[in-house]
Amino acid sequence: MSRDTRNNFKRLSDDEELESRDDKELQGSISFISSISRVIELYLPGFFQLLISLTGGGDEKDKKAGPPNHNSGLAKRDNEHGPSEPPA
Amino acid sequence: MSDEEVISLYLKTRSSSYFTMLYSRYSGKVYSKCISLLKDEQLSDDATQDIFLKIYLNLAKFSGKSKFSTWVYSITYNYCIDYIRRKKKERNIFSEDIENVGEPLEDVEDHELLEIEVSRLKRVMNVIPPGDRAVLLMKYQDDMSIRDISEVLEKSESAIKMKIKRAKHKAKSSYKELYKD
Repeated sequence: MSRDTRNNFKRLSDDEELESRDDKELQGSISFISSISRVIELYLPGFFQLLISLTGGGDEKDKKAGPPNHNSGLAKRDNEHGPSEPPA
Repeated sequence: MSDEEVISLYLKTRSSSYFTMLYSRYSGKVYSKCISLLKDEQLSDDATQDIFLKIYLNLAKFSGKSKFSTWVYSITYNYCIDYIRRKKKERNIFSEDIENVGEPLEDVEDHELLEIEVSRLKRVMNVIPPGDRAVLLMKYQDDMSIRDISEVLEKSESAIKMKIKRAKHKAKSSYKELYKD
């Protein structure tokens, strides 16, 4: 066999190696995307809820959760003399 | 750095980074041979891991008589052929096990196989028996000598020459059958 002639067995090996690498990269990308989407799925509703509560929405839930905390900074700013503080 | 240098550094230091270097050089090639012979992605993934475990455990026994690549491919072919015989219960892995061995065969020139277009060659390799596939890959893809192949398959050199001749004939006849036009 002349080593100078075209040897498609070698090209076959290169092709298969590339294919398997591509498959693995694709699988890697798919698993990365699915783990990202899982994270979004888990935390996005919570994030929106936080956003809603920060903008003053979500009254129903707040009522269920109990009375608002008047010692918080926001409560103090709205009402300088909170019920917990004695009048001057 | 050559494979042999990496191995000697690994044996001196036992640092896993040297073994990782060997893994990254050969895992793709080992996997592609496994998929050629086993025809199953999951199986080939597992086989690649098993083969590298064998390499890891036997690296100190690598004498350097042959090239490291030849040693790695020998382990790979041995593993796959053994697997096909044991798990797939295929005893007839060479065409000579199936076909009439008394029949005289015409010689097939190397270039007739080497110049088959890659996608067609892939198809031909998929239809011939796994043993024939293995000897053709060892000879034409890995440039293994008849002696190396005889050691892998534990057959005499003359038996290997005959197996290669039959495998070439089988590949050519399969090609003619697949691509009649």
